[in-house]
Amino acid sequence: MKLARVLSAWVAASGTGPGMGNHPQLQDDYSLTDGELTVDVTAQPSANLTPQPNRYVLECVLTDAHFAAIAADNTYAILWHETMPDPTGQGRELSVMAADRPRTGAITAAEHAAIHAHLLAAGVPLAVLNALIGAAGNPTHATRHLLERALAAWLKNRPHA
Amino acid sequence: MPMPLHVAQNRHLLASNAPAGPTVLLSDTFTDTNGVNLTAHTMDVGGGWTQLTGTWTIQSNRASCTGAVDGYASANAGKADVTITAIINISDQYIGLIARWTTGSNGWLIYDQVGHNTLILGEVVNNALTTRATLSHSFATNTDHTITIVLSGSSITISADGGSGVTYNSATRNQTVPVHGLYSYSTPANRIDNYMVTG
Repeated sequence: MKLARVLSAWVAASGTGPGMGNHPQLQDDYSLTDGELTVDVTAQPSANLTPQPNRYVLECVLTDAHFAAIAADNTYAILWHETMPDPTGQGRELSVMAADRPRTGAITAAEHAAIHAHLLAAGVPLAVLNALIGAAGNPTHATRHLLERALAAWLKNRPHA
Repeated sequence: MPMPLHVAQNRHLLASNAPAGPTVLLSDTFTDTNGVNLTAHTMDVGGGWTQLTGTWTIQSNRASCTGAVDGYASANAGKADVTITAIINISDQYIGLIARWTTGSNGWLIYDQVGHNTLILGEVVNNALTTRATLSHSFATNTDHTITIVLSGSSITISADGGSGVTYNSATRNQTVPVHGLYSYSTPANRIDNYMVTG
């Protein structure tokens, strides 16, 4: 299992059921299975949904297969990820495997460029984006977690589209 | 033989120092005659149910709802920071619980949809839902499942059948509202049982 923080879009639909209301696009695109979860860590006000740009930070616990699929899906951007050794998700003990991008690690130029491109495509103006996280490939935050926190804080107050 | 004084004193001290467990604020096993409206039914603990939408009755000693799209029934626990547990048994559509609820459909909705195998924590504002957390779990139809909701300040944790939960940490809406309750999309075969609120 992987613990990851992911940039996802909101989907808006009327009603109260799954697939309705404001819900993460990831919920529509992937059928998560036992032990997988998502939680909104940005907490944009309901009144501002869907925001402009339509992105927020979602914490996810995912199977390795779902994680790999989402990581390869340009609809999403992975901000950091760590491995959960217990396959049931019980205990939530974390460890860092060689392939992980742990939250405390320094973001690479390639990762940063990918996140920068994702947000640019989502409609964040280039000047705003550069001021927020640095020019593509030139991160201004020391760690992935600091980058994520800066993004979440900015996204939290985006106005309704 | 009389108990030595120091033993009796120690027992008294142990008893008086024992931590108090949570207080049962609301409890209902829905034991009543079939067809009795929830508003006419006496809770095991608590002041009684308010029927907000739908028609809530007892069926086979469980709560059941008919008659509206989204059925809600509530009770006042007197506290907003509580632990809520209940058995849900889904046959069709949706079933779940509400927490920190106010009229006009505002508060927190915790529910499952048949076939989706996901417990959802939704923030409801004027009957509009925003999904704040999802927990994938196998909810077999026509089978009892226990769901637990822990409300503590701005944190709400939901879990199912004793498994790990998921916590949303920005639950400031209606944070001090002490009214909690039941939810069912009006499918009479959906049932709720053993509802309990402690705190």
